Parts: sequence; C-alpha cells; structure tokens
Amino acid sequence: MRTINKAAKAVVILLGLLMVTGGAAAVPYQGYIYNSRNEAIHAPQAYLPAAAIDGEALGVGPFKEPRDLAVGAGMVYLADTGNNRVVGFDLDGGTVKIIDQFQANGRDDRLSTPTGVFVTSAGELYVADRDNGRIVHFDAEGHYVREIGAPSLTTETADAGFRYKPTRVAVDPLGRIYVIADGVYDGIMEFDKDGVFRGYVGAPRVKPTLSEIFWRRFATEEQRQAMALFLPVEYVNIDADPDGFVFAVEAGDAHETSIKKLVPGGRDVLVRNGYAPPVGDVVGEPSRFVDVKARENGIYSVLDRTRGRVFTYDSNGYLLYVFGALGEAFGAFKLPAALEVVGDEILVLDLGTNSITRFEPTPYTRLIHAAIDHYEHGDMEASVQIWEQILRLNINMDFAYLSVGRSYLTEAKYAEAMAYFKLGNSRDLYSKAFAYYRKEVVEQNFGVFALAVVLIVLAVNRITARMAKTAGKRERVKSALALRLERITGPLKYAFHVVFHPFDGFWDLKHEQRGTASAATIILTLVVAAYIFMRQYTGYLFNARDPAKMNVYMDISSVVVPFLLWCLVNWALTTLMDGKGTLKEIYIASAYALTPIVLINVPMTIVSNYLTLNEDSFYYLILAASVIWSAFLLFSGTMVLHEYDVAKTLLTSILIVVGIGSILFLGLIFLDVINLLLGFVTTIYAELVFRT
Amino acid sequence: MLQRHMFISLITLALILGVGGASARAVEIGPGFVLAVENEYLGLYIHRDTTEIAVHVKFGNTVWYSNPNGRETLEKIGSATIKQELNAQFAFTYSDGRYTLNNYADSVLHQQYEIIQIPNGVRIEYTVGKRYNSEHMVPPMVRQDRFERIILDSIADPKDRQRVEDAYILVSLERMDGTERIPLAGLDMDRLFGDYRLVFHDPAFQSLEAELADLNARIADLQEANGEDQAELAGLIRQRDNIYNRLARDTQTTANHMLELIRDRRADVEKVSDLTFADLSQLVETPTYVLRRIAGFLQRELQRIIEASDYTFEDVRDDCWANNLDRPAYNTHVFFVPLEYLLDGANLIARVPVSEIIYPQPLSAQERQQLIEEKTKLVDQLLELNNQLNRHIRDNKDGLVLLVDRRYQALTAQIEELTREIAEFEDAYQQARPNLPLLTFTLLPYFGAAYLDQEGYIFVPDGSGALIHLNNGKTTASIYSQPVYGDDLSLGPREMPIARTQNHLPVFGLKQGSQAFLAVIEEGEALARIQADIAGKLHSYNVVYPQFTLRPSVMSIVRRYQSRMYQGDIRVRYVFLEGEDADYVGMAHAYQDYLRREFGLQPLPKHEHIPFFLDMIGAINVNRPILGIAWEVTEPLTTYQQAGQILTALEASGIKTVSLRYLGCLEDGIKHVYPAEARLEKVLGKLSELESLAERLNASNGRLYLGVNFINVYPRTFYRGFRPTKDGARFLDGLLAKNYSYDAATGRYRPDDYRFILSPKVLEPLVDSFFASLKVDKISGVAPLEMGLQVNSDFRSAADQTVDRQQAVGIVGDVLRKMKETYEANLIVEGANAYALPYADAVVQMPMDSTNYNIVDETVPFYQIVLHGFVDYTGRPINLAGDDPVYKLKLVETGALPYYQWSFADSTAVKGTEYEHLYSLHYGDWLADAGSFYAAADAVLGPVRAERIVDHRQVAENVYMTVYENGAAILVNYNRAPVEIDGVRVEALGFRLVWGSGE
Repeated sequence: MRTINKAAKAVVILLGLLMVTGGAAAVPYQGYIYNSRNEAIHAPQAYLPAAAIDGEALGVGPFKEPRDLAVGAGMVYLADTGNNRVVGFDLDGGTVKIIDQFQANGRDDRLSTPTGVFVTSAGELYVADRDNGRIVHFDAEGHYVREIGAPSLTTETADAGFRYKPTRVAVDPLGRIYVIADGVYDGIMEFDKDGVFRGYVGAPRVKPTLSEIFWRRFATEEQRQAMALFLPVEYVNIDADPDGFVFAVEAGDAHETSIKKLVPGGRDVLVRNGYAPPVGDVVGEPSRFVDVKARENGIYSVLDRTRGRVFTYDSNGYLLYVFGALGEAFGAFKLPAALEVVGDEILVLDLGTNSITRFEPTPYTRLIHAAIDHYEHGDMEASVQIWEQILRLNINMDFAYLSVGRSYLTEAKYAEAMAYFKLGNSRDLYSKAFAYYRKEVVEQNFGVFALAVVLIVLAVNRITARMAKTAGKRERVKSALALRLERITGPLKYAFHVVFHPFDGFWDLKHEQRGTASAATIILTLVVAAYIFMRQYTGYLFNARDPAKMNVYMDISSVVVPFLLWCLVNWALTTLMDGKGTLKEIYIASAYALTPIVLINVPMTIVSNYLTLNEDSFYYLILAASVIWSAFLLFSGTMVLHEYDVAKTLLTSILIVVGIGSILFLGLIFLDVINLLLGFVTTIYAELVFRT
Repeated sequence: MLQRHMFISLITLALILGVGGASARAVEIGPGFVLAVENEYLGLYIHRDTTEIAVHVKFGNTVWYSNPNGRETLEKIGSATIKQELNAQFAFTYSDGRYTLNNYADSVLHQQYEIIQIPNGVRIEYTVGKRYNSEHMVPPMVRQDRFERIILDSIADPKDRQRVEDAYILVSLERMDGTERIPLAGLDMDRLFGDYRLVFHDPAFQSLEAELADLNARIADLQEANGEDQAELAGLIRQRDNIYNRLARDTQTTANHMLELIRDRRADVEKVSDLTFADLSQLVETPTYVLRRIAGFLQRELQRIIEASDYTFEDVRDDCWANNLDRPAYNTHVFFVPLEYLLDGANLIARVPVSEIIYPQPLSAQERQQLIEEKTKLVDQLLELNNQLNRHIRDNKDGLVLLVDRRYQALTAQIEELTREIAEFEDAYQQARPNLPLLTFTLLPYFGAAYLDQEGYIFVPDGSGALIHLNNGKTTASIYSQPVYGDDLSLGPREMPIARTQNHLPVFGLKQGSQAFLAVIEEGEALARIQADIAGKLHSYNVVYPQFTLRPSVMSIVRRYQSRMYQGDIRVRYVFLEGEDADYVGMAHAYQDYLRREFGLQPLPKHEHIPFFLDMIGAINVNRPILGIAWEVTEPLTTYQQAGQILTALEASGIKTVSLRYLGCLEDGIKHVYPAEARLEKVLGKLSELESLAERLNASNGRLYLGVNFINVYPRTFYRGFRPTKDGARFLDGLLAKNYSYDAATGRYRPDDYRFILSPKVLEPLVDSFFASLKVDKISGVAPLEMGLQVNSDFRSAADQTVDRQQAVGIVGDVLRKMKETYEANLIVEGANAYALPYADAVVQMPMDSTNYNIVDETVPFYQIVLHGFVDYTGRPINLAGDDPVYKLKLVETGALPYYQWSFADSTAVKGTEYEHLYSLHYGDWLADAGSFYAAADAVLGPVRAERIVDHRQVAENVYMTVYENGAAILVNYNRAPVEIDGVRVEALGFRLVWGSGE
C-alpha cells in the first residue's frame, strides 16, 4: 500500500478548482416527483452538484473503468478496476491512499480487477478482488488482514468450468460477509465472520402456478428433481445497513421486487406501501438499477442507469425525491456505476467520465430528511411542522399530506385530516378519518338525527295512508292530460310489477302489451343516467376514477352498446332457435329487466358518500345484488318471451354472451385494420409527396 | 482562363498595395501576406496563394490569423485531411450532407479563386469543387501546331516534355498518290479513309517505310535485271515481306488503337466499323497528335504535367471538338462562393452574401425556354450563312478561285463557330443537372485558433455565458455545439434528456495570452450554431466558430428539406480586445457597446430603489364535471381585488415599486383565446378594477404588464380568428407545427398536449388587431410571452410561402419595435434572445447559469454584464426554486432583481389541474421571505441599478465580487461560514456592498 500524504491545503485547492461555480451549480435538468396518481410533476431540485472529483484532481492519475465506491470512517474508497487498485481519499482533503500491492502473509501480493469495495463503520476495508477470485480484507490502516477465497461448496451448484469471480461485497455489523459473483444465480453468498461459506440468501423460492402443480403431478421423479426450487436471480449490487439488513438490487429492468431488504435468514422484508412500488421511473422505459445504498431511518437510495437517476424512498416505500440525468453536463452522467452517501451528501461514480460527482442536498431535501428524522425519533410535532413547510415548497409531495393528516387525526381534527388524506390520495387513511368524523357528527347531532328519522317515518306513513285513501277517488277525476300521462306512467309503473313478479310480469308484458317501447327507452335512459350519476357522485372512497376526467360519451356507450348488442344477438339467435319473441319484445323485456340497477344504484351512490371502507362489503354486496337481480330478470325474461325451458334459456344465454364477445372482437379487429390501412395510406402519401 | 485572369488581378493587387505593404511593419506577419487594406486601427493582410488573412491590430500590435500561423510545423496529431482542413476559411455540406467541401482543398488548390479589391476590404470569389475531372486533362487528339505551341512549349522540365511527347503519336491522312494502303482487318478502307492513307509521323514507322521502299526498289531493280540472282531476289522478297509484315502489324495495332480511342470518345459510335471518313477528315494533311495506349500510372503522370502547363480544360474541349470527339463535360458539383473581409473601424467583418452563392441547380422551365430560343436564333443564323455560302459557291463556279477565296473562308469559319455555339447550347440543355443547395456553412473555423501552448479561454454564450479553458485536457468530452436562440420548434419535437440553457446571444469569443476577440454574428445568427472545441482531439488547436444551417432538414420517413436555401447574408463581426480588456468582461462590454451603437440601447434612469418583479397568476383552466361531462372552466387564482390586497401586503412589508406581470387575465385564463381581440377574463373582476390596479402601480413607479402569448395558440374547438391551416406554421413534413409539452420524467413529448405555432407571417396583423382592440387605457405594459424565447420558422412547402428562421427573427424584432414605438407599450420579455433586448424594459427568466457541459470549465455572468445598467433583469421565480439561499445569492452576484410568481389562492388550488408544476404559488407562504430578501437586495443593488458592471471575479474560494462603474462592489459569499476579504466580513451565505476608492 502506498499512502500519499499531501499537505491538506493542496488537495483543498484542487477540490476547490473542481467547483464550477460558487457553491452548488444549477443542474441541467428539472426536478420532478411522482404524485399520488403516478404522474411526473416538476418539483424543487433535490440535490445540486458541488464538485467533480477525478483521479487527476487527487493526484493519482486518471481513473480507469472505476466500478464501485464505499464510504466509512471518514474515507471514500474507489475500486479503480482498470488500474487494478483501490484508491482511498478523504473528502476534506488530506490523505490519499492507493492500495494495489501489499504484503500478504509475508509475500508480495496484488489486486487484479477489483470491482467492489466495502468499508465497515470501523474503517475496515473489504475488496472484491474479482480476477483473483477472492475477497481481501484490509484493516483501517490499509494493512492486509486476510483473504476469503471461493466458497468450498461450489460443487453443489457450479459446473466444472466455473470460476469464482466475486464482484461486490458487503459486511454487516456482525461481521457476516455477503458476496455477489459473476455467473452465480442462486442468490447472494453469505460467509460467516470467519469466512466460512454459509449458503445463499435472497433467491426467492418458487411459488408454483396452477399449471406447474398440474404438470408436477405427471412428472417423473427425475423431472421433479430437475424443477428448480428457486428462481434464478442475478444481483448487481448489495449494501449492508447498520441494523443488519442487506439491501440488494437485481439486474435488468426494474420490477416490483427489484430492490430487496433481506433479513439474515434471507427473507425480503422491504415495505412497498408507496403510491407505486419502488421501481424508479413509473412511466416510460423501465429503470435499471445498478446500486443501492441504505441510509438513516430506513431510507434508501437507488441508482438507475436507464436515465441516470437517483431515487430515494422512505422506509414505507414512498418516493421522497429524484435527481440526476444522463447527459454530458456537470450534474448529469454518461454511465453511472455506483452511489455512496457521505453524511447528507451523495457521491455518484460515473464510469463514462471516470469521475465522481459530489452532490449537496438543497434546503428542500434537508427538510424532508429532518421531518423523517423527527418522526422516527418520536417528535411528531416537529415532524408535522416540517412536513407543512415542505408542502408550502411543493404541493406535489403527496406523501407529506399523509404525515400531516395523520397528525390531525391524532389531534382529533377529523375534517382537516380528511382534507389532507384526500390531497395525499390515501383512501385507507381517509376512510379511517371519515369513520371518526362520521361518529363525531352523529354523536354531536344525535338529537337532530333521531328527530329526522322519526319525522321521516311518520311522513312516509302519512303519505301511504293518504295515497290508499285517494286511490279510489282519483279514478273519477282524471283529466285528458292525466290520461295521456298515464299512458306513459302506466307501463313505467308496471316495471315495478315485473321486477318482483318476473314470470307473470314478462308474460303479461308480452301477451297483454303491458309494456311499451317508449317506456323501455325511458328505463334505458334512466339506467344511463344512474350510471353517470354513480360515476360522478359515488363517494371518494368508492370512486377510483377522477371525476374531472369523465367522458360522458364513453359512459353512455358503455351502457347502451352492450345493451343493444344483447338485444340484437338475442333476437338473431332466438329466431334460429324457435324463439317466440320479436325484436321489439326483446328490447322491451331487456330494458325492464334493468330496472333494479336504477332502483339500487342511485340510492347506493348517495349512501356511498357516508360509508367507510370498513363497510365496503355491504356496499359491494348490494351493488352485486342489483347486477344479479338484473341478470336473473334478463334470464327469466328471455325464458318467458321465447317460451323456452330453463336448460334452453341457459344455453341461449351463454350463446348470446359468446355472440356479443365475437362481435366486439371482430369490431376491434376491423378498427385495427382500418387503422393500419390509414397508416399505410398516409405513409404512401408522404412518400409520394416528399420523395421528389 | 480563370487562372490567367487571377494572376493578372493578383499582380494588379500587388501593384496597388505594394506601397502599403512596404509601410512600417512593426509586427512580424508570416511570409506571403500582403496588406490589402488598412485604417488607423487595423491592417488586413491577405496571402495571395492561400487566401488566408491576417489582421494586424495596431492598438495592441498583435496579429490574428484566419488559419493558425506556423501550422505546417506545429500541427502533429492531425491526419492528412485534417491538416488540409486547417488551411480552409470555410467549409460547407451539400446534397444530403454526404459531401463536405472546403475552400482550400476544393478551390485554392485548384487555383479557382479570384481576389478582388472592394472599398474597405477584399472580396475573394471561390469556385469550390473542381470544375472538371482531372482524368479529362489528357487530350485524346490535338493538332500538331496546338500541341507543340500550347502544351509542349509550356512544359519547363525537358524530361516531362519528353514524357508527354512519348505518350502521343503524330498521325495524318495523306493522299494516296498511287502508294499502297495497308489493309486493316475487318474494315472497309475506302469508307474509312476515302482516297487517303494513314501516315504515322513516327521514326519507327518512317524507318520501316524507308526500308520497305528501299527493298522494293532493289527488288524492282533485280526483277528488271531479269534474275540470275534468283536466290538473292527470293532473299530480298522474304526480307521485304518480313518488313512489310512488321509494318502491317504495327500499323494495324496503332491504327486500331486510334480508332478505338475515337470510338470510345464518341457516344454515338458503337463499333469501330461504324466510323467513316467524315469522322477522320480533319486529319487530312493535318498532322495531329493521338494518344497512345498508356499505362494507368503514366496517365496520372500526364494529368499532372498537362494540368501544370498552360493547356486548359477549355483547350481539351476545343481539341475534342476539332477532332469530332465528344467534349468532356464540366463537373456538376461546382459552387461559386464569394467571401468578403471588410474593415469597419476597429472591427473586422467577414461576410458571405449567400444570395450570390451559385450552386448546381436544374434548369428552370424559363431557362430552358430561353436556351431553346437562343439556340433557334443561332440555327436561323446558321441556315442563313449556309445559304450565303451556297450562293457564293454558285456564283463562283471556278473551284480553284474558291479555295483561296476570302469570303469563302470567312463564311466557313463563321459556320464553324456557330455550329459550335449551338453544340454548347445543346450540351447545356441536355446535361442532367442535380439540385445541390448548401446545407450547412462553416465560416472561419480556425480564426484565432489557439495552439497547445496557449493560455486563455474560449467564451461561449451558453445560458449566462461559459468559458472553456484552452487545452483543458477534456478530450473525451463532446464538442460544444449549440444553436443560437435555441431550437426551432417548427423542426418538430425531440427528446429532452437534459434541460439546456439557451444561447440567447449570437456571440462567441476567444482569449489567448493578452489578446482576445469577440465575434458578433450580425446576420444569419438565427441559423447559426456556435461550436467550440479544445485542442488534442482532431488537431492541436482550440477553436470556436459559427456554423450556419442554410437549409434545415429533418428525417421523417424520408429526409425533408426546407423548400429553399436561406437567401440573406452571413455576417460576422470580429471585435479585437487587448490587454486589460482582453477577458470576458471586456467581451461583454464590447457587445454592450455594439448594442448601444447599433440598436440604441439606452441606460436606465437613476433610481434609489430596485423594482420588485412579480408574476400574478390570474385565472387557470380546470376540468370540472358537470352533469357527467368534464367541462373546461376558467377559475380565478387571483382576482383584481385580490391582486390589490397582495400589493397592500407588499407595501406593508416595504416593497413599494412592483413590476407586475399579470398572467392569465385574458379571456379563458392562462390558456387564453387567440388574442386577435384583447378581451379580459370576466371571472377576475371588472375592467375598472384592473385599471385602478394599473394606476396604483404606475403611481409607485411600478407597472402592470398584461401577459399575452402571440406566438403559440392553444387548441380549442372554436377559434376567434385563428385558422390553424392558414395561420399555423408548418413542420417540414407539411403538418401543422406544434409546440409540445414534455414529460418531466422521460423527457418525451406528449402528443396530446400542445399549442399551435403561429406562422410568423400573421404575427404583425395579429399584434395590430390586439392593440387596436385593447380598451384598457391605463395599462401601458405588455408581456409578450415566449417571444424572447422562441423563434420558429414556417416550413410551408411553397418556396415563396416559407418563412425561414432569419426572416422570423426579423419579423419578431419588427413586431417588438412596433409594440414599443407605435403602440407605446412597455415590454417585459422572457429569456431573452438578443433581438428583443432593444425594446425591453426588463427581462425575466434570464439564465443565471450555464448548462455546465462537460467541456465547459466555468460559468460566467456574461449576459448580466452586458445588460446591467441598461435593462432590468432577473432569473426564475424564487418561490419555484425550492427556497434555496444559493439561488438568491446568485441573483445578487449577477445584479438580478427579486422575482416571485404568486397566486392569492392557496397553492393547492392547482392540485389535480394542468398547473401542478407551479408547485408553490400561495403569496402568503412567501410574503415574509420576499420582504426580507427585497430589503436586503435593495440595500446593495439599489445604488448600482443604473450602473455598468466593470468587473466580476472570484476573490476567494466561493466568494465572488462584482464591481460597478460608480465604485460600488458587491461581495457574495457562498460558503457556509463567514469570510473576511480585505478586512471586510461577509456572513455565511451572505452578501455585502462595499464602496471602492471611487473609480
């Protein structure tokens, strides 16, 4: 090991020279954050680049293909892979160390393609010495301590030609050593503190799918043996946090479980409760993580190569901030390789420019960390105050609304809590607050509510009694207008009869002409209206859609088109199958059959505004009842109308549904062809017009 | 021809300037340079052989070269091509960009240029691209006298002369006079040679012939002697047959080769046997040199020798014509490009009148018609001449007289001449001519180039300005290449991985040692990219230069080009700086002086306090479901009354002078209707309220600026007066041009979120009608949104409908002037691109930083130094910068003013709308911050508001000092700890005003 001890001042000046402007420079990209709807919205910058550090600035010659960074005990270590060395330096200037050749057990030894470094809190350095197939352990002074070679149990998994090439290493506070190596897909290798191989962690066990279970039944014993018990997984990077967890990121496109937080047993305990799973960019091409760094309070940052971004999540999986970009400018990266945290600063190693960029947090980011810190230390009040301050700086930090809302909840300010939970778009929390709020309102106004209930019951009684009394009288005083009205209301009222007495009702509908097409149309219109009403006015907790983005035409057609298709296909099939109903009769009967939807959905929509998620089963049960009821009515209507028996109706109904499906499918294909044709024509046109 | 012409003009030039060139020359200027023109500040020298220039700066006694001096020996890393490029003064691409020509390799080397003296300067006319193909320079047949006189006599080296002579054989057709003709296999001798025989005037042939004749004579003698010596006779006959065979063989080979040569040079002849006597008649009794069959290397050698002789390509064509051969065509890829250098006081101007550039182009229908007409005229003349000739022959029956008849000879000569002219027309008409307009044009790419050993920097106007240190060693970083005035949005959307700061100013510069220059692109700037690169990549020089896109193109299915090439001028002004002035501050002052001189930039009046810049968001557009339909409705964020309340609150916290940009107060809010009519949004309040707001602001030296976007139009179902198909600009693919918004995460454009780009053609009428209908008398300010940020072309396919980017700049500039002068509106612009500066009260959203490209070493407040004391300016709103104290320090350091963007409504009012990116608007959250920052900023910036910045430098680590003309200096400390500079303490993250000794 060589140590270059320079006058501290010299390095300070060198580092100072690297600064592009005073303090932190502006960044060549706009900050953003995903809001609760997972849309990327501009946000204040999270980190600003303060300096670029390269080999020449440190006086050790240019770095060559550096792959990894590690920080510990005040030193930054860099795996200067292409130069076969590890460079250590102190960010405040002062010492620069180079580890390439060293004395191991009395003989000269050297590193060969070191790709990974790790420093313990005590300053001990572990190097993944890839091409030598070992982990080398140095003490805080840089003296060789020991080496940990290939795991002795490789025969279990590896072929004859396998060469052990460790690429990354991490050591937990208990001294367990975790290693990932090229070509090893069984998980992360775990060595105990004496360097004895203990097995693999982090390879998820297979959860067999139905078809796999099915095939397993028919497999021979050998085949069964050959079926993997775990999913092959390739990790690109690991980090050990002070609490003994190991953070690991998988190679390839990010998916829901790309980032793992492993307990010593190997179980993944990462909480993924955020608005989106921790996958980096939610829109566009998927992120590809290359490094992960565990931070204080369960916060972790990951480095993405697709767009050169650093994403930071809190312990619950909420995205806190994003920064970084790919590009040829200070603060952007060409090929980001590793990420490290020094205090509240972040270092990003760029393989493309062979340099490290040092980022400083903005005041906004400091606030976020402070708020979480206060929260973790139980100082709710301070935490909430800071969250409120954060919200003043950025209304799109939706996660903050939840924190503030929670505090209102504990203070029993339910209305405020509800408002914040709604802004933070958390239906669970909103529901909780709403439950208290509802209780509070009812308790406070118990008298009023009780009185209202009594009054309503009385009023209903009165009215029904009066109606019964006047029922006879009305016959006599019917005016011409009333008669005309009755021609419409009569058939409509008959709908009530039909829904409760389907078999009689449909029979009379057909044979006694108790239903009319105009009444059916009115019912259909009511169904559409009820549907739209439900879409728009269902309570926040039960309405997943944003009412501001409603498209009434889509809503109308999503009721009318299936209905008309049902009628048409029903008619077309039943004419072939000796059905007795005409198209008009089918139309009338089907429309009448939908009456329960109007009867149930409208009140349920109103009721939904007063329900919490705890009562959701009640809500959905009743909604389901309306659908089942209508389906039953459609069924019995078809049966009565066409004078079928149950079996034939069942068959017809299935055929109708299949028919509707086929028509929709053909329609889609047709639209697609038209689309292709249009594209073709425009391309030809463009060629003709412009290729001259 | 050209060459001779040039030679003469050079001599003239040398004669005219000879005296000047000999005048006292205090500074060493490379050999070969002659003084072309001089004034009291500068001397312009030109190198007669390479056309490179040198500028002698008399006030600093330094020299700038268009191409690095001594590059022949200094350049070590460049390839041969690069070394040749280093000699060029310009380069351009054409066709689809596959071809690049430069004026050295493709013009100077072929001596295809002419230097012309013009008032105050010189003009060099280059013919770029060799006019002919060198292969054609070896003529197949040349008449003896011409060959000897023009070719041989002008070859100096006797060896070369011999080589040329050896490559040819002298041939003629002579009367048979009873002699025997050697028959050529498969050819009809009579048809081919008529009554003549082919004679090779070649020693080898002649000796054979002589021998043959001798033998024949001896044989005849012997036969006459009636042969005792039968044996001798037989021997002689055998000998004669041998000689004859040899002669016959040689004759056949040579003649066949000659005939093949003729066949090959004639498109209308397929086989040798198709040739007739008419094709060879010019050889009758006229000895002519015919090219022998020669090896390829010799061919190239001959090309070289003949090209160096006086023999020209025109001569080749003449000789081919005279020998009934097809004349080799001129090259089609030939361009005429004039370049002018002018001295304007202490400045050098390089100018390329693009409209005078001639590029290959197919004949237009009109030109074709004209050609046909002229040819018809000539043909008529020819017929007339033929008639005359026939009459003459008829009148003079005596054939003998005819041969020496002068009239006859004159007539035939005339006929000959005319026929030839007609053939030229035929050529011109027939030749397939490609259309090859220039695509990009790089001007003076090595002007002032700094060698490896130089110290200094390149200045590029990226954002606020950036410096690239000479030889900074960043050889892996990409070249700096950014368009002036940003992207042309009519070229279509593109991916935005990083958000660049725009080049708002058409300037660049370079400092080496104690000298520097600043270049201002005066014309063609909207088409320019500024390119800068360091030494050690392609060659050993640090360079900065402009590249002009004369014909934009874009790839969409096929590559599409602007309908026509740019037709204006390219004009770059070089300002030279010496000694103390030779730094970026000096460059900024040079540009400031330029703006004052050329555009009448006026100093700001003295005020005690700085204005407070405030954007008020009036009404926004939100979707609200009504009856199940999501309607777009306009909702107020800040009504006029509420704006008044905010003003009151500001006054209470000590902010009296407010420059208020009211955004979203035209009908329909932020996404206001097409502003052909100035209609106010009703939800914000009554007109009188707005007027009283304006009055109130005026009374306190502030002003109300009405935000209106003229150049982008929001899509909607019904437009008031906007016809998208007519008034919208077009992309190159003919579709309506749109300005898209971009996804914050992916940087991809969002196809369904756009605004139409207004065609520059309709901008002026639109602005006229807006002001005609503006009924608010009290409002004297207008904020034409984005006009200082975007310049967009209209790529309509009809050439006369196309508005190119430079024209667009002209239109936008004119419209801004009209607003200012005709409509007497005070303007706040965003950005702002240079064309807007002369008309602006203030610039907001000025870049306070550069993009910090990897190749860049330092960001400097160049733009701010240019504007300070003349136009108020500020950066992005402070409230959207994340409460960053560093940003506020940056504002103070650069002399920029406080600026916020507020609403009266709560910040969360925009949640769930399209305005979520305005993430911190509520004024109440920022009032206290604004008050304290304004007070602090006013205390230091107030006294210097109308002053020029005379110096800006780093005085300690993370501590910067900005010095103003009145002696005030502002120290800004970016450190997180207090510092002491010359006994002055500056707090951590603080700033302080100190008064100097009163400079």
